[in-house]
Formats: sequence, structure tokens, C-alpha cells
Amino acid sequence: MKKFWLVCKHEYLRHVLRKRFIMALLSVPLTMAVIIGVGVLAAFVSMDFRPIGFVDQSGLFSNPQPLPRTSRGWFPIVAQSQFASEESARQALADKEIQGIFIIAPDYWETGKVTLVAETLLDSSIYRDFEEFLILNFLASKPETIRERLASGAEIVVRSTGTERQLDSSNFFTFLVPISSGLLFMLAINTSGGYLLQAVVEEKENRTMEIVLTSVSTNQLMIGKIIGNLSVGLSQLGIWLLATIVGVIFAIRAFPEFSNFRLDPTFLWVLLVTFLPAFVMVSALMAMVGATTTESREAQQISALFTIPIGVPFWFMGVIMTNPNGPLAIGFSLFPLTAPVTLPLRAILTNLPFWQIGLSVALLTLFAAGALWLASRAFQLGLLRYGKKLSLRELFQKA
Amino acid sequence: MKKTLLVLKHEMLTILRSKSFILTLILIPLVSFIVILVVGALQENNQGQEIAEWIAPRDKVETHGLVDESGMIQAIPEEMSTRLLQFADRSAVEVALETGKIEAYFVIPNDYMQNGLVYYYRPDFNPIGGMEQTVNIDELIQINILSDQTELLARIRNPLLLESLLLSEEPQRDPESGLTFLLPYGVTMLFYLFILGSASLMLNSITNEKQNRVMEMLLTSMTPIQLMTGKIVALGLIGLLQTVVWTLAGYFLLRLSGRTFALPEAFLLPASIIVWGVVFFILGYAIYASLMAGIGALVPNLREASQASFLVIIPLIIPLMFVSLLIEQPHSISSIFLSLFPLTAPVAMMTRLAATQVPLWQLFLAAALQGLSAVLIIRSVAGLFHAKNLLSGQTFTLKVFFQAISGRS
Repeated sequence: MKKFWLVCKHEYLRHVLRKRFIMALLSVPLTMAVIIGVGVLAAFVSMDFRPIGFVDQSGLFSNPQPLPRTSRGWFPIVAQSQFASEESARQALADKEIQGIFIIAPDYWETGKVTLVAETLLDSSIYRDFEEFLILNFLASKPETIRERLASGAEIVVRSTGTERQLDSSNFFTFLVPISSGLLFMLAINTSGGYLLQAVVEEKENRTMEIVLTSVSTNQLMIGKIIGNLSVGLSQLGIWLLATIVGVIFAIRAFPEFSNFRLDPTFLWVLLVTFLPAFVMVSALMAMVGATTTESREAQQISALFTIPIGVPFWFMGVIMTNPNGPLAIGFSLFPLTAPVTLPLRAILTNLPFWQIGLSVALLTLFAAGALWLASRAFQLGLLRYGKKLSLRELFQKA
Repeated sequence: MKKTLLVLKHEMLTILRSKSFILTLILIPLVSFIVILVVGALQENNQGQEIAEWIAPRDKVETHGLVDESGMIQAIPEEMSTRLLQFADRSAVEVALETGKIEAYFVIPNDYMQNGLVYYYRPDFNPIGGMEQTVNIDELIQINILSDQTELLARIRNPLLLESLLLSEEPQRDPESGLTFLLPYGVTMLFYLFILGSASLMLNSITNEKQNRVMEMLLTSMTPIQLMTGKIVALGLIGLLQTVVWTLAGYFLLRLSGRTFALPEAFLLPASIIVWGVVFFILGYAIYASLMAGIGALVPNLREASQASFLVIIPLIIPLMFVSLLIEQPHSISSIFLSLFPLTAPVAMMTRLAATQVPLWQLFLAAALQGLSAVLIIRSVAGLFHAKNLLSGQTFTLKVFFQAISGRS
């Protein structure tokens, strides 16, 4: 019993104590921060914040009230500035002081007609803000609550009957959590999978394998290596998830509009219960590939066969999100390779029937056990075999 | 010259005959086509597609219930009355839900005027898919609040009937249309993948030859520049072949699937874009393939190679991060800089070309700068193909890379 623990500890420390591991660990949150920062920067630079002019030819907007908000989050709202006549407005447009002119027609009240004069088409938020501006002003005589209500309209909050779940504008991004945890899962699996492919190469190359095998049985070696490398991936995943949680808590404090964020506990334990067996299954498969193939390029190609299906639900993300109870979504939740990404996402979007969770986890555990068995056979047969590839059929033959 | 051609021929034949190359050549367009077909069929409201209905049935909520706790709803207009049934209170509506008379229901709370919230109850939750089918509650409330002021109601429903008089002469792309962003973005991604794919072939080739020590024997018969040029041209041609095959395959498969791909006039890409595409592809590929060759000469094995190549790829990824800036403001200073700087130019310039018309002098300047950098890089990388680099098992770090390029150590 103690021996596999020795192997495990050695593998784990071998990878974790390298500078490269820490760098890889930090690179993911750093890259995310850079991408978000650059995205915001690019959006900021590309927006035009000059005011928009308007000319009122209908007489309804002689004393207009400006919009109550001056900014939307970090971005300032384009202000509306009134001009007495079309000529003065066009002059301002030619001088590039304003982005464009809305000319409210004399028969606006009956027809709603407005003409836009501008160089090019404007950003869509400008049209929406101007609509709100118009509505607020021709309702000027009404009491304030009615004005606001009619101008901004109704907000629909989706709730589930039976359980206490709710989705509204404040926790709208809850489904980003399963998507990002799915991505992190893929990254972590790729890392530990990569390590596992090379797990036995070093010992084989410098012939220490024979010496190691005099003290440890192949099964102890295999389990030690798998758990050791798997823990590396799990540590990465754990640290990234922790960082995400800290980031989310920070975001909630900084942006009070997200304060209603609550994570469904079902989601958390579905996450736990699918990630663990999936991790074990993929790690065992990678260890098997590492022990059977001779060339690293071939090993990478075969391992792609396992890692690519894990990402397939992302291609169909739109369909899964709009149809979380359709056959496609259910199929993805049951197939072991695609389950860890799909099932937690569906847990957030719908009320998962217990049999689906149970069946998916059962299948995952079954396949994980099968993968472990295959890996142990591969280790038994392949560890002392040099130069010749171990074929799949041999794994199934009686020893 | 003859030796370069020898290398060229050998390299091309090896790759063309390898199973993995042919597999990727055929599999990728096939798989993408299947995915696009399936996803497209599932997301369109296509009545005839039975398979789509089976895989992802359109959520059909026939009748909704309504409980009005605010007292605002006096009457339900006739068009809505078939899909919306009003109930006196929450218990009545829950009974109706259980008996199947309705599939979901709305509740307008009595503090609606202050908060503006309407609650939508669904047994399966499904917040995103469920939103598509909701009866227009907003319309209902407006009709009831303003029941006696029809003109005001009409104005609130349609506050802005816009007619645009645009002063610029370029054909305008509708900023609302998805294509304005997607078309240049698609071109960018394609270009990025082509350059990356071809350059990776280079990396693989060199690393493998270094690992099985064939490289040393080759260098007894020819100079490094001959070897490199032969490989670069061969793999470039292969990359080009891949590009052409995939583009044609994509085009024909789209035609076969019966989708008409008629782009509105403002979106038609000029034929010159293909010419410039080829030019920038060749130049960009030359730059990155030689950088990859340099890495291949320095790293001890394939695994370290992929990690090291990531560092070199970073300048190629930068235009992708700024893609929205390039598409929406193609004439701003940052966009112009990105499309002239030789390392970011191949991808950035293609994005700008797909988004708008680029002045000719900028195109020529970019091409010239890229050509110059390509020549410089090839010369310095050729210097790396020296015994001391090829034989050492030294781990690859940036320090080693720069020292080797500048000729020291």
C-alpha cells in the first residue's frame, strides 16, 4: 500500500515543483485578464462619444428633459443636444461637433416620423437611447412612476415552479459559470493528460524501468502514476476555480447590480460528481496510450481522439442552451466523454430529473473503471517492451 | 539550386503520402460541414426538417396563464386571448398548470408600477429557450394602462420611424447585420489558421529530423540555407494546397446543401482581396515558418517545441484580440499600425481588407516591410542550423533563443 503512495508523491512533486507549472498556473487567469482588458479597451477606443443633435419641427419637445442616466456601466451615454434650426445643426455636423442629426418631423405625433442625417450609420445604442428620450418627454405631463414604467417597459423574471430558482437581469450571467468551469476542465485535463502521455517515457528511455519494477508491481506503478498526474491537473483546476470564485466575489462587491448572484447547490454537486470520474477516465486512457505507443507524434494523435470529444458540446452550445431538455442535450449528458461539460450547464438551465444525473454518473464510473482496467493491462504488457507498438487486440487477450 | 529542389521534392512527397495529412485534409471540412449543417438546421425555424425537430424540438408553449395582482389588466385584446388565459389568483393558476390547461404562467405583482418586474413561471425553468416564446406581456400592460389614449399608445409602441439620409459615399453596411462583423472575422480566423497550420508543419518536420539525428547527415551535403529554403517552399506549397482544397470544399458543399449565399452589395468582397490574400499569406508564412524553423533547431524534443512555439505565435494572436477594432474602425491609427507592423500585418491587413477599402500605398508598404523582415529572419535563422545547436540537448528558453540568433554563446 505504501509503495503506490511513494510513486504518487514522486510524480506529483516532480511536476508541481517546476517553475513551468507555476507559470502555466498563472498564465490562464492572466491571459483571461489581458483578453478582457484588451476587449474593453478596444471597445472603448472604437466608440464615438460625440453628442447627437436633434431639431424639433413638431413643437412637442420645446422644453426637453435629458435622460436620467448619464452612463451605462463604464461607458458614457451619448447626450442629445437640441438645435434651433436644421441649418445650425447641419453646420455643427459639418464641423464634426456632433455625430448626426435627428430631425423630428412636424407631423411626428401622428406618424412617428424622424429623419436621420449623418455620415454613416450610427451605433444601435444611440437609437435606443433616443427612443427612450422621446418617450420620456412626450409623457412629461404624466406622474413620474407611470413615465418610467412606460419608457423602460416590463422586465421579465423567469422562475421555476416548485423550486426556488430565478433568472433576472441581475443574475443573468449565471450560466457563464458552467461554461467557464467546462473550459477550465478541458484545460486541466489537457495538462495532466499531456503529463501522463510522457509518464513512462523517461523511465523507459534511461532503463530505470527494470529497476523500478523489481520493487513495485505494475499495478502499483500505474495507480501511483495516474493518481499523481491526475492530482496535478486537479490542483490546477482547484486553484483556477478558487481564483474564479474570488474574482466573482470581488465583482459582486464592485458592481452592486450583480448582488443577486446565487449559485444553485445542485450545480455544485453535479459538477463534483461528473468531473471526478471523468478525470480518472481520461487520465487512465492517456496512461494507456502512453504505455502502448512508441512515437510521441502518434501518441498525441491518438490522445486527440479522446480530448476532442470533450469539447464538442461547445460547438453546439447555442442549441443546448435554448433546448436544455431536448434529445441532443440529454444525449450529450449521458455520453461519458461529453457529460462533464454538458451536465453542469444543464443543471443551471433546467430542473434536472434525478435519473439523468444518476445514469450519467453511473456510466462515467463504469467507463472510468474500464479505462483503469485497460491501463493496467497496458502497463503489464507494455512496460518492458521497447520499440514495438502494443496493439489494442493484445490488451484484450488473455495474459 | 538542385539540392534545394531535392529537399523540396522529398518533403512534399513525404507529407502528401502520410496518412495523417490526407485524413486532416478531408476530415476537417467534412466535420465542419456536418456541424454547420446540424447547428443551422436546429436553429432555423425550418418546418420541413424532421431530424431537427427530433433532436432539438422547438419549445411549444401553446397557452399561457396570467395572474394579475396589480389590478391593471382590464381586458385582454382578442389576438392574445387564445394564447393567454386569465386566472383569479395563484392557486387557481397552479391547478390549471397541473391539469395541463396551460404550460406556463405570468404573474404581475401589485408593486409592478414601482419595480417593473413580471414573473414568468415555467415547470422546466429553461430561461433562455423559454424567452423566445413569451406572449408580449409588455404590450398587454401598455394597452391596458393607456386604454383610452390610442394616439399616445401608438406613439409609445413606435416612437421612432426612422428615415436615414447618409452623407458618405461608401456603400453602407448595416451595423445591425451580423455579417458586418462575421465576414471579416471569418476571413481573419481562416487566415490565422492557414498561417499557423503551415508553420506548424515546419516545426514538426525540423524537430523530427533533429530528434532522429538525420539533420546532421543532411548538413554534410548541403548548406543550412538550402535546407531551409527547400523546406519552407515545400511546406508553403502544401499549406497553400490545404487552403485551396478547404476553401473549394467549403464553397461546393455550401452550394450542394442548397443554401443561397447571396451577399448584399456592400458585402461583396472584391476579387483583389484574393490576390492580396495570396501575397500576404506567402509573406506571413515565410516569416512565421522561419521563426518556427529556428525553434525547431533549438528545442530538444517535440513537447518542448509546442510550448516554445506558443511564445512565437503571440504576435500572430494580437490582431485577433483587436479584431473588433480592426473591423469597426479600420482607418484609425491603431488599426493602421497593426496592419503595417510586419509580425501582426498578415492577419491584420486581411481583416481590414475584408471590412473596407484600404489605400493602395498602405498595401504596398505592408508587403514591402513583410518581405524585408522575412529575408532578415531567414538569414538569422539559417545561422542557427549549426552543429552546436543541433547537437545540444539544451532546454529551450527565450534567453537561449535570443543569444543564438544574435550569434553569441
